[in-house]
Amino acid sequence: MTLLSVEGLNVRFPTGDGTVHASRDVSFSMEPGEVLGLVGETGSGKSVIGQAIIRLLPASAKISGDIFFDGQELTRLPDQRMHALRGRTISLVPQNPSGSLDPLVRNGMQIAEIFIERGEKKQAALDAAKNLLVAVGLIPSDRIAREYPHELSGGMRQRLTTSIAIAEHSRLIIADEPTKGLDYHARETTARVLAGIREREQASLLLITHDLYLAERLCDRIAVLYAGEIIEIGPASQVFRNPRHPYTQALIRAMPKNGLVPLEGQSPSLMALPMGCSFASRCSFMSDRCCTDHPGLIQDDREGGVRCHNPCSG
Amino acid sequence: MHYYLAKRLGFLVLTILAASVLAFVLLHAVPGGSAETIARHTLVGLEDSVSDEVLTQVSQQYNLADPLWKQYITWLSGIVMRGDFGASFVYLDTPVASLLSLAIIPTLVLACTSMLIVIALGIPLGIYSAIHENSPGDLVIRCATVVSIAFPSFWVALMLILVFSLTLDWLPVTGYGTPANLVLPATALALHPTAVVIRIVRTSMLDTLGQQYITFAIAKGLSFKNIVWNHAVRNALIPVVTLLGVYFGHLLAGTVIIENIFAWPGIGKLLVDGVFSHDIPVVTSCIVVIVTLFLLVNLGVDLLYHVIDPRIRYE
Amino acid sequence: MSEDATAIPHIRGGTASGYQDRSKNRIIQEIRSRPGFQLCLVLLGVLIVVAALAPVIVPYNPNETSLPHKNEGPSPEHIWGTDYLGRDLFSRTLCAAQTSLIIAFLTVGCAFAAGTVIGCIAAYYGGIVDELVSRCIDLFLAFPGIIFSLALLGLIGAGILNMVLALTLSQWASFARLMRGDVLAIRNLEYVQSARTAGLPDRQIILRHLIPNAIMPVLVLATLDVGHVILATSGLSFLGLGIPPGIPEWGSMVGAGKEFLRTAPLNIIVPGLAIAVVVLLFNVLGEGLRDILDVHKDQVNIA
Ligand code: SF4
Repeated sequence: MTLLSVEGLNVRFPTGDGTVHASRDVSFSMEPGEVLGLVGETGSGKSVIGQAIIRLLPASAKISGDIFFDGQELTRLPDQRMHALRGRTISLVPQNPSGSLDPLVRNGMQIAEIFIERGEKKQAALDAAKNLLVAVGLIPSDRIAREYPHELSGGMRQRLTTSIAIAEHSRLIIADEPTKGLDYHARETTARVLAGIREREQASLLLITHDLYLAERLCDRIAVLYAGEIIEIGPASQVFRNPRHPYTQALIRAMPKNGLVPLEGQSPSLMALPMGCSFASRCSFMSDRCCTDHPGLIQDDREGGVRCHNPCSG
Repeated sequence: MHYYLAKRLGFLVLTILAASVLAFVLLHAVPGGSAETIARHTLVGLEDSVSDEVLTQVSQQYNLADPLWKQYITWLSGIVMRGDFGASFVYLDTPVASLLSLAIIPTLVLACTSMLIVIALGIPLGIYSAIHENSPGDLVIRCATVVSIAFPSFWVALMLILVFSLTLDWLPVTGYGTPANLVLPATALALHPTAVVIRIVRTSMLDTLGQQYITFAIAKGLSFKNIVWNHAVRNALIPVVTLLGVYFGHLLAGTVIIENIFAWPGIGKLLVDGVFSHDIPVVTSCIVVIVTLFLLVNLGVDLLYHVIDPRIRYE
Repeated sequence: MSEDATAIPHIRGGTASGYQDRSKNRIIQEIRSRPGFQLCLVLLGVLIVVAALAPVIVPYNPNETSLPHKNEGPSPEHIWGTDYLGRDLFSRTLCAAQTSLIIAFLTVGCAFAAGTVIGCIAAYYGGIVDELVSRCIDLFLAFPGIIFSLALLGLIGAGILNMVLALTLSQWASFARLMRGDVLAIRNLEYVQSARTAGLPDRQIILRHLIPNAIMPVLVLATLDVGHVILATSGLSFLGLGIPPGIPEWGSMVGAGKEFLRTAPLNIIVPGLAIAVVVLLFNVLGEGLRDILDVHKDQVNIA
């Protein structure tokens, strides 16, 4: 049974200078236990999708489309009911762990307060918190629990926020750029922690990242985003081995192990999108049609799809 | 920690010294400190001529023949060695030190009471205003702060007297000693800083509520109450604490006017009386005492800041 | 939403040089969208014209006493009543506006000029100059300056210029500190550096590049300070300091009228309200300007 199904999600931010179309007609679904990667460059609208699911977008955001989670439609759920889901059923590994930890709260309490909120005694909650610290490899947990976030390294803060996200065995974990800003070593650890979660918890993981290695390593399926749209979606092995969208191909060619071939040009402004294909200005397969007709997402036989008039046959 | 404290104390002493030099030199350099003026003001009356005998006597009593720097050293060493602030030009039998010691308690009582009002009203109203941003309550509070900052405190004091003493006859106009005496001056004095603190708390709260750790706290599933009180308020009040020290200084400055309206026997009244009677030793000493009080409070606030914010380490 | 560490220097740089890049159109557009601010501008314009013309347009000589008519309530002859010497309150209040505005503008002007130059020099030269100036600024900011003005004013005696001098002493330091910070932020930016390597003389760099680019926040401070200074002036003159007899001033009107609080409260209420209205207008102007000119606000757009 499908756990999460996003259908035709559009997110717009009205600003003084115009409307930012942060995500356009995004649709995908996730099965229980599945790991789906949303990959794309900064500004491709991938984080907005995660925030829309857990409903943490700023109030100015205009959202349309449906998000079904376990039979409930989230975008129109009363605040009270949505609130009951956060942290317990849907949880978040936030972008920028440093900014996401209250600087005045000890590390142990950052986790324990969740249990206290649910009525646990303080001591029991702190003990449970220490177990979680151990689970993400933050040892000695006693000392770390007593310290403050500013005393941890960036990678350790990342693991701390991750442990908070798994505290209540949520059914859906949204990990927003978990490796952003980390050094190689911390990225490795984070990848291991996430892989561990994948094994232990029965949760589905929505992995939002620009880090293709991480995505390749963890994901069952991949959705590639460009200028707010999903331009290719499919099983991870297929997307990595036989990318069909010109942009996906370029992304994969740009990975260091494939020779670091950079992609020329810039993605279009989300305020002034071209009429045809958003990728047209950078695409070497462009045809006349690409500039006038906006390509739809063409579903193919195997639970995948590509948004291109001239897809490469994989 | 010790090093930091020593450094701060050193800076404090230097600032007080510099302020005392500034006050002493500037005030002694203006006309009014000559033996003749003092004699006219205090011994013989303004119209009469002053005999040479009196002049010599006055001059000797106040070391006026010495050069300015020597007068300063004499005065300063008196303070440091014996707590002796010198002799007043006006109160011939009472040394300045006794005048100060009599005046300092009333001023502290007044300023601290006002500070309590500022904290008790400013912080909750600021928090309320931020949480209910753009609600009718918030708009009322914001308008009230903007308007009350524009009224001079002496005028507010007089209006309070007009309403509560002269018309309703609930509270005494002047006097010192009972809590009833304290109500009007403390309220009048607290008005401005309260309005300012409300605005600062509101801004700081709004800023904090926009932080990522608040968003993450929501994602954690914490209740609104928990988020506001355990996360937002604590973080929002940190910058406010430092400013409270500054506002205590404004309160001290405000006492100068308020004490004169309510005949409150504090430093502010002593200072203004001293200014009018050209009692330079009293004026200089009052300034030094007020500066010292202000700096001590700020030091205290800074240390407090280090206690409540774990990110700050003594360096 | 995201706060990228790499974005911070960009924002800082933008803050410092942004003022110059801002087109006038943008500012005019901002002003257009704020009816309250426009109203405030109009009222201030009216205020300044009235204050300037006050001696000519008032119905009575503000100092003309008439003891038989003392402490009268409003009447067709004296629309706001008369004071304890029978002087026309309306005329006195209007003329006092002139006194207050002259003192406030002169003080803020002097403090602005002194603070800007001192702060700029300190930041531009750095080193020992900066160290000395900064300590001096700290010293002046270390205690409530109004107390110092009060003591000084009491001893040097009354006079408009004495008042301005005493108040300037208590105000210049905040201007200098702000200016110093602003200049420090832009001193090392590229265009200043290139002006230096191009061999422009220091005076030109300071006047052409540093001051114009760092001045906006200081201008906002100056506007806000006008209200401050009006309040401080009225406080000092309320105590009987600084304003020579014969010159109407709101604070001294309240101070002199306070003996008649019970019998003739208008003596106090009228000048007090006048102070509040004028201070309110300048505060609204200053805060409006801060919002309009503040670059932080639109630097924080979604990336
Ligand atoms: S639609 Fe055309 S321009 Fe767009 S990606 Fe496909 S081939 Fe390139």
